[in-house]
Amino acid sequence: MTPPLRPAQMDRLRLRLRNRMPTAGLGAHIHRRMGQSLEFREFRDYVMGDDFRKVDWAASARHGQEGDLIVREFQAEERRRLVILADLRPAMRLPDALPKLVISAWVAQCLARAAMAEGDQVQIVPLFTRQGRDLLLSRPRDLEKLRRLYRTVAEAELSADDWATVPDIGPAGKGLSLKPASVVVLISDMLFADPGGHLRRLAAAAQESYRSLHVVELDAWPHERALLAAGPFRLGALAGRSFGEALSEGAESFLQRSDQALAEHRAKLRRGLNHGALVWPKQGLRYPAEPEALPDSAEDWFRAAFSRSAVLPSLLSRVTR
Amino acid sequence: MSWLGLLILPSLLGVVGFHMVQPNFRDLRISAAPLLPDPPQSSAPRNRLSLSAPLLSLRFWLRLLAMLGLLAALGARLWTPLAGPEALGSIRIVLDVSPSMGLPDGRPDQTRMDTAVQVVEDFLTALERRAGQPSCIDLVAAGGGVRARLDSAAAPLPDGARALASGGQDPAALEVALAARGPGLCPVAPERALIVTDRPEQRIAPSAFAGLHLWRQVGEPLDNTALTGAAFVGGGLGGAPGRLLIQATVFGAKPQTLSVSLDAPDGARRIALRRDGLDAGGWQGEAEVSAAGLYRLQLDKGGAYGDDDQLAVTLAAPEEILLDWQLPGVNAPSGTRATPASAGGVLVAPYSLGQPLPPGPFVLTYPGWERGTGPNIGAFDDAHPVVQGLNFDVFERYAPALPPRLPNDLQAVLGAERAPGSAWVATRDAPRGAVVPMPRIGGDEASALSLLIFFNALRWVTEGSTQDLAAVAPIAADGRPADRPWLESDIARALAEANDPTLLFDLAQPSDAPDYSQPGPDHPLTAWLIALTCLLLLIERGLGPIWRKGGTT
Repeated sequence: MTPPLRPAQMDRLRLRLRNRMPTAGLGAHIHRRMGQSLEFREFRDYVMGDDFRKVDWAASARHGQEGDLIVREFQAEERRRLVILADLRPAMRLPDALPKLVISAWVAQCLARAAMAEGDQVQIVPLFTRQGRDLLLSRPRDLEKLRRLYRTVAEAELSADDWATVPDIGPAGKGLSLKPASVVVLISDMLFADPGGHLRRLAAAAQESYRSLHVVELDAWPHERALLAAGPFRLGALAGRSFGEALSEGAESFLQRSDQALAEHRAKLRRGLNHGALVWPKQGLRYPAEPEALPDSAEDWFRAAFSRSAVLPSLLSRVTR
Repeated sequence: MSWLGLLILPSLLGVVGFHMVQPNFRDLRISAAPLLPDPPQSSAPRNRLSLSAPLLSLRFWLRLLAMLGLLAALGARLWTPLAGPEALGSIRIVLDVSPSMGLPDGRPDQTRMDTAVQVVEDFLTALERRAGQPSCIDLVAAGGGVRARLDSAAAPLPDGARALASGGQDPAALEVALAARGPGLCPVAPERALIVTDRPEQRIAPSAFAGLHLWRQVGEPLDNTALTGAAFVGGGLGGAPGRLLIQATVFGAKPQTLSVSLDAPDGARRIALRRDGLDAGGWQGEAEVSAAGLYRLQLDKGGAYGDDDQLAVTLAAPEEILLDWQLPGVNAPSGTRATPASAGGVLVAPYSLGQPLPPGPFVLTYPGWERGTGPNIGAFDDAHPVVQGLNFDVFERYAPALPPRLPNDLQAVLGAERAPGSAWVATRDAPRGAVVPMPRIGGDEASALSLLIFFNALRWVTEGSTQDLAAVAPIAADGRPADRPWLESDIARALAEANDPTLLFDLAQPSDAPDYSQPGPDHPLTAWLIALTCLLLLIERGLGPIWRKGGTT
């Protein structure tokens, strides 16, 4: 469950992105970040990307080595919180070659580490599962709790009924309350139905006031499409849909109709979840199409895909609109 | 072994075939499945044959090795020989040469002896071909005169081996033949013995022969009837004529009627026999006889064996009453002949306390009338001939003194009150005997009572006495005297299933035929092969869940 990005690699990525993001401007939806109040908190060394207006020249001349700068840190009125909604449906255990649950765990850890490095709190909310409570992470070593949550879900035995039943959003999703300075990230394959409308309500709450909802879509369809095209198959039941014992084949016409059905589903879901502060990039973390590419090159693929994805830039940006 | 071969090939093909048949589809679970349209049905077959699938499957190799291990264990177990050809010790052949061996066996030109000799010759032929030879072979004719050592299994039977004995042989003759030692026989005691006889198998006493033996019975059952006995019962003082009692026994099929031709000094006649109600197969009859001389009895239908069909009985004086009179003071009745009790005479003598009862018929007396006024009458048998005509009231008035305690062989006929173990009159039925008060000569009522009781006893005893059976002589079919032919009479006995005498080579238990239904000793590798098979199956089963999880076939 440990992500293939080392902490040092993650820090370099984060800092590289911060240098490209706009750092000025105040507006109605600017997120408060650490140091924007006037109450002094501490001195610390200058790091590339810090606001030059914070440099305390007297302290730098007094305490720092030649060429080193000291910045003045101010107490934030409220620390921002990163809320990660982890989709833990049985379908997230697919595909077998590289379950989306593993990718979700990697993404969650990377985002949590980046947020904690920025001084933010991290709240993990497990969705579509009866087990697990919210987790609150404030230090890097709390990431072990996150890994343990994913491991528990991944190792739980699923019966045929568990696969076949339409999953419920779960108690954590129904009773979630969000702090004003929250950034909500949903890590999911976005292939779920929302019969009770719980997720829509959650999405609306996540976009109120200064909050925003970011979707990290784990798109395994190219890989699964290739599996269907590889020969006769028998589909197992999943989330209320059953296919019997008959053998089927992945004809091209069927696959094209499937592409269309999924695209329509995403469009409909995008419309349903958008309340003005939805950030759902058109391309998420897309699995490679070649079935044999996984799992040997999974880590290489993740490193490349995650670095290229729009997830981290949007989270680190001060401006959401 | 053929069944093992039939088992091997299908088993191996089954394991290979099981792994070659692979499903021609994949079981998939697709996360987008709930949103997909219905997939088109495939016309591809559900299964396919894959030549490479077994070769790449660890479970296939484990199952194949387990199957081969099990088959190897079975084969090792079956192919272990029961017993290698080991050198045999000394062998004795016992051949029954009793007269019944001369009877036909299935065909008129084949006798039981012919069958027995064939059995022996076949046995010797098989012995000659065997890898391990005995150290010595000898042949003993049970009841006969032939005792000879054979030079080898190929040697012919000694001369005279077929000669039948003249007299009947009792079963002990076979044990005697087994135990025989001495010149002409093997120097060491035989370790194995083949017994060929027409008798049913009998237990051999370990003292006679403790080695391994095999009993081979020959001779189809044949019906037979034998004259088994004759006895003379005299008429006694009652004046009745004497009777010749005849006994016969039937072996095999029961005839409707049976009769005996009697050739008597006073003429010939036929005597019809009747079934003996107490003896199954027994018949009996009687003929009145009065003349002295030789009486010949001949069964009208004697059956297959003829030496037991004739009896010759010599009666010296059938009308005479033979008495061994030793009673003082009383004369023997006229018309009797003094004859010692040892020669068949009825002993008439005083009874002495503690004396054993005579083996033959007797009338013993005790003095009691002189001491009279005995106790009152107790239990009595008023129907007994000894007390016939007795007035018990008068007797009780003059009752004599009781005799001393009487032997237990006697039954009380006229007992007294409160006098256990004693009685005025006591009798024995076979042979007849009586103990009675001493007769006394006088005119009084006590004397009359004493004479009545005494002569009742004398008449009763003399009526049931028989002459010595030593005068009964069996006659063989050829007219010569026969020696105990009844020992051969039962030729209708069941014939046991023929067992192969060569089984004697492999016998491990005395008198038991080897049980080939039990497996032989295990090959040394059998247990290891079975253990290896179990271990392979354990690995294959135990790691199954892990393999299934990992997708390993």
